[in-house]
Amino acid sequence: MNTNRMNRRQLLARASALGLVSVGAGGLLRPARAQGTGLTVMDWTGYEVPELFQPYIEKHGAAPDITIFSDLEEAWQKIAGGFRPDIMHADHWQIPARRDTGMFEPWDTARLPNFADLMPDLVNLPTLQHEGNQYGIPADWGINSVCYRTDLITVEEESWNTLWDPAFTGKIAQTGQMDNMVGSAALALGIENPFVNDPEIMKAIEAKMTEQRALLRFYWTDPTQLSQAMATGEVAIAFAWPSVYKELKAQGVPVKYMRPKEGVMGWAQGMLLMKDRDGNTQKAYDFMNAWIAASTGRWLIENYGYGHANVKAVDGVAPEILADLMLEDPTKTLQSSFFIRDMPQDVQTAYVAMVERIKAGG
Amino acid sequence: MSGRSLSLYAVLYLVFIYAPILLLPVFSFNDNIFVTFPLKGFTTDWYAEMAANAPLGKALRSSLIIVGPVALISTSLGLMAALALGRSPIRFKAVIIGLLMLPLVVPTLVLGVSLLTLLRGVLGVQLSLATVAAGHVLLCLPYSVVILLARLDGFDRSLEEASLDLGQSAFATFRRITLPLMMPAIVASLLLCSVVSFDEFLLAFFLSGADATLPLYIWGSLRFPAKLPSTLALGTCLLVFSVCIVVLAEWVRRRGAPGSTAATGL
Amino acid sequence: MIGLWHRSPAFRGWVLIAPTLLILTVMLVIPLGMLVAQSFWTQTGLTIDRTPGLQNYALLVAPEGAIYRTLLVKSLWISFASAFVVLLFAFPVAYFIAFHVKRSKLTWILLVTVPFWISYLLRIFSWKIVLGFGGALNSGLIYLGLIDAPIEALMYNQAAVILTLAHSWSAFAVLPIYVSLQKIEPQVLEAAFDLGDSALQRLRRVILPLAMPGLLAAFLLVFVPTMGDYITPSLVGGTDGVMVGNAIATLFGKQNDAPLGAALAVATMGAVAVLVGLILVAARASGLWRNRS
Repeated sequence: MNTNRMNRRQLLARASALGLVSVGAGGLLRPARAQGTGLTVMDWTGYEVPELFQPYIEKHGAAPDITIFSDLEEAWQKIAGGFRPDIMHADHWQIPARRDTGMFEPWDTARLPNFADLMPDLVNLPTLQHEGNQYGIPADWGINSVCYRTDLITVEEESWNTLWDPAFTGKIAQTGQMDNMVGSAALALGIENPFVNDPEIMKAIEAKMTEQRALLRFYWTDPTQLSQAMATGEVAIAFAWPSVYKELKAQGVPVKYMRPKEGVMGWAQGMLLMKDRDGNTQKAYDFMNAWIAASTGRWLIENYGYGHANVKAVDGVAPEILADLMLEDPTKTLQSSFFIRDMPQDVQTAYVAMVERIKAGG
Repeated sequence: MSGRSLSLYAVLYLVFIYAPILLLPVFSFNDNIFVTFPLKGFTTDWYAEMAANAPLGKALRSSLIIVGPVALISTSLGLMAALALGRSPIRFKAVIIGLLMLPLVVPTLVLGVSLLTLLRGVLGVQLSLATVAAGHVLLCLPYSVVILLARLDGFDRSLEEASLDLGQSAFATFRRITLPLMMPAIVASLLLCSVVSFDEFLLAFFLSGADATLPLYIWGSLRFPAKLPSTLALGTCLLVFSVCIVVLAEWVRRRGAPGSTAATGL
Repeated sequence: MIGLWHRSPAFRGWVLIAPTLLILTVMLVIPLGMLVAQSFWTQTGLTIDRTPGLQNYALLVAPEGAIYRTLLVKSLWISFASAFVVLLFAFPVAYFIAFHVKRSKLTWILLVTVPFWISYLLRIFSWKIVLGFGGALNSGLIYLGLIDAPIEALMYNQAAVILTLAHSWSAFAVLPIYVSLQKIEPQVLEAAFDLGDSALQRLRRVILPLAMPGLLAAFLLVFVPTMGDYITPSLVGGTDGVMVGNAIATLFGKQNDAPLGAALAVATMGAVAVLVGLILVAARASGLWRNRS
């Protein structure tokens, strides 16, 4: 048996195969040259469209590198793993807990010409501004409320408690997001601020959320799932983003967006300037300034149904659109909405664990 | 098992596999943002929207770029590993096989986070499609080895031994006997690895830089109800493309000598 | 070195497997080591305390960790059921292609694999269209007058998850089974037939043993990855169909408790390893698998 005798050709063939693979593997892993645009932005899917930073493109000729995410937690994990964007876009209530990690630094608002036009109520949110430093620049914000099918159910009194009405059992949908789940329970119970380390309050919130689970069709994970369900009538009433309401209305589905007696919920995002930056600082400021421009705001309102932090953004937007989104008087809406003021780390941890337990059936 | 009932079963199986997927084309032409019955009307708007969607095209291209190299590298490595495990008297085979199966066992999320920390934090490598491809190779290795080993396992070695006895070099034996006999498994491995890589979503998120892959993009587009039908349009195009490949393969086979199986040896 | 290459088949074997081993070590063993180490730490908020301890594992077996145990067992069941269903349905098809298809084998193989080139997410979505409230099944049944209102029980539960998983992973079963069936020579089958074996006996004595490597491979390739899947459960599973992968993802993500997530991941991998080991032992013991390698 000649298994032991391998001729040179075979050796060569095997060695070259091995070499090829190693070189290939090595080539794949070789550090690539840094991207040429000089600015890396980490942002939500849907926000990579050029219309949201048109002035930046006009000044620099090209869009920055945008890495998209659809799940903020995964995005944080990616950053924790070593990914270094220059600018990050995040829920405002997630910012306080991360402030002390040194992940991002305060903005020098003097370098942002459009900063003066931003609504003070947003700028001064305790989650975005801390000890005189502006950590997060407010950009997009909005309201959340209850959306329901007027043809399928009758709502006597517009209140958050309609999401707990046993008459609608099996036809209710709730969001799976912790801040909104807890927030709606708090509004239904009349608790002004649930995000404190108070065992009594937490117990009440937990009971309220657990009570709701049996009445739900599902906890929705994305707006597509919800709008589909409401369009077919699978769900008749739900906590919904304004975009869902907008979509359903545009398709001719008879829906109403509630003005609950307890008030609507508000959300806001803040844009962060990351500390360990690879990119160009001036470009970062240019990008931020482009985002908070009034023109960007107008596009955001008209196309995504979200509010914008610039007071002038509503100028020129059709009144019906504004009315739908409660943006006729943005400041008034801001002031009357339920906003998360602060989210200490231990409170966040406790509530997240609670919410996940309830959602998993525990 | 009679041939008739088996054929019927196979056809029914195909129906089961394809029926849900065929709903995608149905709704991609439906004039309704909401993907539900009853059907409203015919429209090609979603295809126009899909064609105009530049980020979608970019994501598709990114996914396609890595599929080929990943399948080839995984299958090559898998072939070498299978040969080593199935033929050579190396020690600790059980341990190596266990190690090979590990990428399957580890939850992909965990793998993603750990790999990211390793690549970025420890090795300082920039994230790109290449890092995604590297992650996918790791994920595809078990599939490749499992299929190739399944073919080798219990394989009759007398053919190879006869060839060597007759004076062929080990490499020629490999090329003329082993390789053709392994071909079905090699093709299967290439196919499976392509599927795994094209589909894969979690590792792609953690290991990608600015280039989103297709699954990432689709997952992200779920936040926008209005984008759903154009995503379905994309799915339909992928389906049509895949079916064309099948048709092409069959056509090529028929053009070959009658009775001959294609070069894949199947 | 060249001399060693010529003399020792073992050395050649090691060289062949070296690149794979290198990749595995660097990209798998090291990260896994980090994971196991992490499972002994604790995290409060965003700070990680690296003093090793068994607190995470203790939590998993304590009453507070009941939800995790439930999820783990539920996932084992769902994955096992999916794998079993897949194998059951894939085997006849693989058999058909291996033995009853003469010339168009590649075509059939492609036909079976090709639907999976559509994105995984779209496959799940197509099942949402089938099983959903306004979906194909419900609308069809209403149209036929068999039901008045859509059946809600089709969706957002374990059954939906199993069905979707079984569909999504079927190619991963057909291919390995086919590959191992294909090397059975028809003469062997004929001999068994000639010797008077009934179809069932032929199945048990000849086919199954020879196909066992492929069957086991198929089972592995479906059961193991589905354990970690959290996309399918989150899209079609509802509250009933939550799996352990969801819990691990949330621990790493929203709950900012990577050490506990790591511990749960390690526990999951352990459970999977044990189950797979049991199945392999059962296969050996039943006499259906005679490993010749």
